[in-house]
Amino acid sequence: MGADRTPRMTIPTQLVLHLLLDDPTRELYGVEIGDGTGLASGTVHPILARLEGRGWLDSRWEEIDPTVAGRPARRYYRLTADGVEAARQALAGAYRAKRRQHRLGPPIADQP
Amino acid sequence: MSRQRPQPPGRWPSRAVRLAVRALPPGPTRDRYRYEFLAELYGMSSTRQMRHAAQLLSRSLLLRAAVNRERQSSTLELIMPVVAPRKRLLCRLNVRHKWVRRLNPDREVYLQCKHCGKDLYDVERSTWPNLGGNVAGFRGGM
Repeated sequence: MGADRTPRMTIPTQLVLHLLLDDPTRELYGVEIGDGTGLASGTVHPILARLEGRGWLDSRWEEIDPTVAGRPARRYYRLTADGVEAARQALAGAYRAKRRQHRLGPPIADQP
Repeated sequence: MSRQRPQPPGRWPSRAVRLAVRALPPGPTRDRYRYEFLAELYGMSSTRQMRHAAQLLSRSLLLRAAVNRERQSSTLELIMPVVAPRKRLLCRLNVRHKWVRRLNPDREVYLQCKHCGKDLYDVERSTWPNLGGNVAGFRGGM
């Protein structure tokens, strides 16, 4: 899997990565990620699919007995070791780009 | 003491999830997301289940695009070595090349074929001098 390919660093993607980087060892499922980032569930899952496809995330089914728990197993996501490093670099890059944009000001065409 | 069991998904949220995953390619991918989304609905209030399922449904095409993109790129990575672009016949036969000037790491100019990547020096060494076509492709102007 190509962990070196960087996905588009949209704001929702950055929010998801920030949340997962808070504690890279912690596993979260879709609703928790949505609640933690304030994003709609429909937005979270495509991001998780992209990150998982690039090898930044790893996912697994929860190990429970559905008859005891009274619900089916959830799918949990966690950053991979490569993903932690790649996510930190990508977020730093996105932050630098944002700072550069602020320093340069708006595009010339937008200026009066 | 009986523990309260999580509220199972209602009829409409379940249907919305099934509809949402129909956008995905059939097979393990679709099944995985159907189980995942249904499992997420457990324990939510009816209102939240409806909202959650509606959000999943409204963005199902986005999920399909993300899943398909990853499937395509991983497939491409697998088959790339097999379907690497073929060299032009004229290049393979050293009949005609399209020479362009390139710089080597020592900043020296050399001529390389734009299409097949061979450089003029290698071509001249490897071809039969009588054919002579290898250099014919270079007409001074690039």
